[in-house]
Amino acid sequence: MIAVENLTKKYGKFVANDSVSMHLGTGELGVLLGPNGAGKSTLIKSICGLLRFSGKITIDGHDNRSVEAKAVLGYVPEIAVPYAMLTVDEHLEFIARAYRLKNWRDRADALLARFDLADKKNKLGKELSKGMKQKVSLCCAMLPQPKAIILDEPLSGLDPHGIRELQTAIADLQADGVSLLVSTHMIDTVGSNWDVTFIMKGGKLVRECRRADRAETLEDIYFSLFKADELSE
Amino acid sequence: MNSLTYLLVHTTKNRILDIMKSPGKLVAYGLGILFFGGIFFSMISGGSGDRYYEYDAAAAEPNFLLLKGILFGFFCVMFFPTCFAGLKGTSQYGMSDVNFLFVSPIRARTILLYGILQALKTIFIGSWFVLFQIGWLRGFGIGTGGVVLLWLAYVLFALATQMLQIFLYAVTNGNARRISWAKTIIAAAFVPIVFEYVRQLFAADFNFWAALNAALASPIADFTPVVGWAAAGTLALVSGEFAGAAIFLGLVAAFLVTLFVIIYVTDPDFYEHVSGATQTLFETQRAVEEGDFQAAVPGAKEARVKGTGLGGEGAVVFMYKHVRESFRAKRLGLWGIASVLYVIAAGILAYFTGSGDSAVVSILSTIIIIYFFSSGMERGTLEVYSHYIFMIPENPLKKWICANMESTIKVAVESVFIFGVAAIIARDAPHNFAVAAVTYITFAFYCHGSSLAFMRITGIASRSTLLSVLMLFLYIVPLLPGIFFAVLAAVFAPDALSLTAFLAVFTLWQTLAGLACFIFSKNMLHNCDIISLDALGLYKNL
Repeated sequence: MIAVENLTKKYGKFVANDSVSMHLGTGELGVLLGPNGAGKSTLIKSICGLLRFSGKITIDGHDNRSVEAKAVLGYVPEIAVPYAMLTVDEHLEFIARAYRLKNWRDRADALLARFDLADKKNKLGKELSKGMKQKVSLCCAMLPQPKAIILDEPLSGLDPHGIRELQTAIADLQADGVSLLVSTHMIDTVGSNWDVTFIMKGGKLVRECRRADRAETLEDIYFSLFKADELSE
Repeated sequence: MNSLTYLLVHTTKNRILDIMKSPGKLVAYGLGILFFGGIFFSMISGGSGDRYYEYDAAAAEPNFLLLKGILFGFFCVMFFPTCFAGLKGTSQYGMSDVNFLFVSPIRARTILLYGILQALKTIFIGSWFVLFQIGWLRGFGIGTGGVVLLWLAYVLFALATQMLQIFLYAVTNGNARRISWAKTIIAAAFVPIVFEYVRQLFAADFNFWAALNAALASPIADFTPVVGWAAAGTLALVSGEFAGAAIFLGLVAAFLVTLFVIIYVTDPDFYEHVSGATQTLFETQRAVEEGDFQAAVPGAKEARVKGTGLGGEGAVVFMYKHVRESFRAKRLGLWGIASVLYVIAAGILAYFTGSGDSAVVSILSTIIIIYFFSSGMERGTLEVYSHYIFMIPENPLKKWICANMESTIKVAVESVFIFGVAAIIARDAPHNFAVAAVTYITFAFYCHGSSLAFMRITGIASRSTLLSVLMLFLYIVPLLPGIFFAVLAAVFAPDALSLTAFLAVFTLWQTLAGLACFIFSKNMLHNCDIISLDALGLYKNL
């Protein structure tokens, strides 16, 4: 579903992503791990077509900058910034109209109810707390029912109920065959549903682990890698 | 070395080291030093440096009052926002000061002294713009020496108002009743000059201009607290009347010292109010840094939800969204208070210039410059700070056009009102006002096209203020042939129609240049970098 080949992204002389290649299959849950500054957000933004890069990225077989690719991709940014002057409900209407969705109302209401936003439908974007902004961003990404969703630190700012709902939503989406790429520092919150883990460091993809190949937990994999590196340094 | 001295010395040292590390900043500072060095050299070596204010009682009197009016107005513009910032608790302190200093065992008044020193530094750095005014001040007979004296007077005035700001937030400290009293006292200081103006209006049969001149010439203007003292003192100083300068600037200095002594002796408790205001400012700055540029859009705070819902499908929904947002944020919908002020200012300009051609040129050049620098805050331009416009599966050119549609409609109606009102008042050359209205609309069109071309050239969907200044030349270059052809058209046209010919040809070229930009960059929205913290960091270090 998401294929990245030899992605390199530079900011001036600084190489944020260095020849990164990865593949996420249909219905797979991929976890993107790495310390701060590893290049995770740059990789995600490149996949979403928000940054220029060298290399090739395809979404469902289409170039990631094509309209076809955009139609099947959802994105939840690390910092959720809703439109200050639109209400919560208007955000969903905006997405529905922009993506030319049909019969979206019931789905929108279900999403709002799921993320505890039903009573905040008429609140303006600027009136929302950080967690509520994040929930609106999640609803907007999920409303068009994309084939793949990329979530950049989706749990930041969420309350315990929001975290649990997101975990359930991720499991449901996975069950529906949606590919998910989740970048997070909170390893334990990903749970045990992951299919593939990509670990980045210094702009490079240093490890790719398939769940089927390994018996360890995500934490074991991550800390074994970074403890070993720290010792060698 | 005590902690505050250590803080001041080391932050200054690190700032200098930061400049030394950045070639771009180093060049900018180098050029600045050369420029100011040149001014001082010119002053010391004679030339025009020995000219202060060439006062000629017969010939210079109208100019003298005009300059006094400009100084009075300028000082008012500086004075009121500074006072209101003080009442709101805005201060020179940063979030790090609140977090580290306010909780430390340092006396409040010592921290206040530190704030004053910070303010002094800011004033000193920010005051250099006065020296750049040498060009138009020469029209008032002020030479290089006079400009330097004017700069010194400005620094004294800015220090006094800054001290007043600190005094106001120390005294009012967020107390609504005290704030109300402070506002009343500030307003009361300006009541005599307002009364004097009204009195002169009656005396001059409602000739606004004559009344303004008479009010400015009266001692009441000179003795209006701080602003009047500063204006009269500055004028006396640059015209070589040092006794008058000593009296009025002495009043400003005495005001400054008195406030300082009161603040220092009373050891006020201002932490709560200042830390609240500092935190609010910090949150806004952080939101902007994180990409929420709408946090900085003025007027967003008064919004109320009445009607809801959007229209359109696909890319067009951006236009509907912007219209909804605009009507929610502003009482006048697409048009804000600035639009109203434009129309009023254009009317005043048309009234006073007396010639249709002069009015058209003055109005058009002013609003074009303002639009260029303010278009970065239009809703369409702000869309590029959010991911939606990049990710919505629609044609990129269509998205860009629809995103800027609201701004274009706004400019079109604004243009009709600005030039319509001005034409009615000027009662001269209506055809020029009509063509100028179209020129303004096509300029907005060209701006949207060139912003897209800007993305193609820089690869970044952002136009920060710094980049705007740097790229101004890039925007002007495609218009140069148009200006050339427009001048040719003006030369060959009959005298009465030369301005019309110039504007018509320029408008046509501008439209073609805008179209070329759109065609040249039609896919750019899907092929450029969204502004990100990484990119911001990159440009900060340029």
